[in-house]
Amino acid sequence: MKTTGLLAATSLCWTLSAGALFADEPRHGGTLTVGVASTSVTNGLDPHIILGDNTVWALSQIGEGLLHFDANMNIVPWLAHSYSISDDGLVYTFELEQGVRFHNGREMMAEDVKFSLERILDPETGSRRRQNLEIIDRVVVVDDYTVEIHLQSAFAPFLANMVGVWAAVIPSESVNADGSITHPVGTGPFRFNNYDMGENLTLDRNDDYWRDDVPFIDRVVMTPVSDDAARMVALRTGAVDIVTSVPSQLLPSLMANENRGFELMVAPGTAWRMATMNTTRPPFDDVRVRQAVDLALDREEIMLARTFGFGHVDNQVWAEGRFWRMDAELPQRDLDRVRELLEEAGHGDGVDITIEARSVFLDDAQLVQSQLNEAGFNATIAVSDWAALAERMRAGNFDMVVTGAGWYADPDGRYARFYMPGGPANWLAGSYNNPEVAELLTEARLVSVPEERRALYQQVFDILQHDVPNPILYFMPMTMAWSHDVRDFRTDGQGGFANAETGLKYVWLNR
Amino acid sequence: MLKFVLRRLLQLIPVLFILSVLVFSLVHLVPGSPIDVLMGDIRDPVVEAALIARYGLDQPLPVQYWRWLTNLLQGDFGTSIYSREPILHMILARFPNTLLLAFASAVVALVISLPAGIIAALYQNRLPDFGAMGIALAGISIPNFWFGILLVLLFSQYLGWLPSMGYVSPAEDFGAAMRHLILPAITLGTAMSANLTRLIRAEMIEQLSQDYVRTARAKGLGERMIVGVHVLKNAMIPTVTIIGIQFGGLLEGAVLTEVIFAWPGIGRLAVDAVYERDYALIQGVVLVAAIVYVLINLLVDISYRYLDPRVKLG
Repeated sequence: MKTTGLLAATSLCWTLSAGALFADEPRHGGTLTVGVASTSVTNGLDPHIILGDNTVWALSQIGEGLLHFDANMNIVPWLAHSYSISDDGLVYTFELEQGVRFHNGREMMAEDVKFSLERILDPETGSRRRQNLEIIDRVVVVDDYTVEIHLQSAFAPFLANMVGVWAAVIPSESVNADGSITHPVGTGPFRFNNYDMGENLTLDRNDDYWRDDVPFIDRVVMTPVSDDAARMVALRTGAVDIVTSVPSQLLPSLMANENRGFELMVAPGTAWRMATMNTTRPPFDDVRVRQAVDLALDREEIMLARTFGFGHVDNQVWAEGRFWRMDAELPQRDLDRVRELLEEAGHGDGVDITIEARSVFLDDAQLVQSQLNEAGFNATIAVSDWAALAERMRAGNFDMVVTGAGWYADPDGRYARFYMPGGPANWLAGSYNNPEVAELLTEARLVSVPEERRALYQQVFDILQHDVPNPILYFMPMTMAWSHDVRDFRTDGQGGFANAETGLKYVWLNR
Repeated sequence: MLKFVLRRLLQLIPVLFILSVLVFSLVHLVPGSPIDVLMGDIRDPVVEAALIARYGLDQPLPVQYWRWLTNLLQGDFGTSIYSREPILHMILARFPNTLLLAFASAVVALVISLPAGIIAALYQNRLPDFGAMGIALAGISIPNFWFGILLVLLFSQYLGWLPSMGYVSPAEDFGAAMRHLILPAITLGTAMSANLTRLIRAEMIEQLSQDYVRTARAKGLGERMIVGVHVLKNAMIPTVTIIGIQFGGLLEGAVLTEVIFAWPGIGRLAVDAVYERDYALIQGVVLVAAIVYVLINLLVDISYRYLDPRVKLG
């Protein structure tokens, strides 16, 4: 009797713990629906022509590059299991994973890497990443699983530019006769199924995925729900399982509510708002007027008003503790100094400027306007749409534009992109042109020792803190929410979910 | 009858031609080019030059127009700069959804406004009239998007009766399609019903004071017969005209409703195309919408004949 009782008790315990164990053990199957905060879940289907964060996320389920970032933004091997760099920094040799199959069943080989890189480099493709890889001189197929990339000159940021879906390895047979891609094929965890009417993007599990055991879900449906209220209702009613953005004004009450009914992520984020000033014409060609703007801004106030305190104020993207974080102090509002600077610049009795913004940044622009007007500017606001505004900015026909920018993995991507004259995003830094900065940025590309590179970027950063062509206002929080039965949806410290250790490939559904 | 229809269809040709010139010029006069949008925050003169050449944007405008027109006449609407898909395919994929929503909204509008308008007219300046007119006024005043969100909160979130968003093809699952259709159709239909109610009321009141009504009453015809058959039929003539015009509005005025309910219609396609300066897509959407609009008004004209046999077509 006694023994039996003990046995019964033990088996009960076992059942309980097994139940708990099974509940946390990833389960295969199910359809995951993602409500994307945009009018379209992707801008096109060509992994080499990527436009916007949503597109990155959508297409990085399908296409993969030779390298990836881990959650701490270190470069890690991916489709290439290892790589080596020649002593002169000119030749990068990549050893490919063997047995990796494209979604069409064919094995990925060195020839495909060559094809993909050359496709990005071809201006006809229209890749927005062409400049990142422009340094490539030629791609040499050594054998089926070895590829050599020869550079025109040493280029420290090269590996960072080879990361992820932007340099996705794709099979040549997935490209249409006219050079377009309408049915993307890659090596990623999910295969393209359908993009119906430019609405829902449907992806199916890649059963032959080269990484063991993942992904778990059978199907991912991404659907555009641009309206904030509609998106949150869709999450609450179960119409979608994940939403990509939670409106800031809801965060205070949602964060305080334990019974809100879904998981909520609020991370520091890496997307910033900035005030770009036109450095090529008065009044902002005068550095003193730009410094006056920099010191007239009360960034904390703007951040609080726009993000309810869930964003953060900083003047650089790299968080405390990251290698590329520069030593810096945040500028503080100083209206006396602003007045001095404006007087020195000959604007003692005020200076007329027009602040332009797209409607999504209008609230930011209005806060900037009121703070500048308090400080002795006479700012008016004009609203425009992106196409018209971009055209005028590129032509150098504006005073100040309040706009946003994303995050870049390598300091070359952050600094050279904006502050090298003629750089890809130089127009978003008001066509800033400082030969000293250009020289430092060029030098930093040739230096391969990270500590030495960092010292050069610190110099660049210090000059920019003085020249302030496009001061950062604040950072938007990265927000997502998902239902309780979505498990193991991992994100990195800053809320990113498109790197090696995060994203949909590890997600499973507890249904 | 056939001659009339043919003549109206022939009239469509100059209309469409003028429209094509107008749309093309307007679209190209707006500042900003699709290349600016396509490049996003990047400048790459090499790639930009290649794209400009590919889409023929370096050609003089008359040349671009001629190219577009000649392709159009061969049934080629061009390809979207963004999706790289044939534009006709994109439009045809979405237009039926918009037509379905517009049709369902018109039905909702009629179901509300016919009885409301008739009752208001019969009880002119009495309580039912004030009630119906009050509701109509609210219908005009309440913003569409706000009403839509209220419906979603009530029927989706709290009651859980209807899906909050999305579209299901009726061919795939008719029941699910109808459930998805109800909330957007009510949202759009109520806005339309407000105007219609007022119009039907006004027409009914006018007809009720006509001589033929007095004659009918004098000869002892029942009130139900007078209102239900004679008055209503006459009151429907201007009403049908307005429905025709509003239906055209529904085709493109549904943008906000489409956004709230994530409805894959032509309105959102058009708005996105404008923001993206996807020239050929904007032009294609406007042309197709114009054709449908003209065809619906043709149907309206034909329906006059049945409502009023004195109307001669042709």
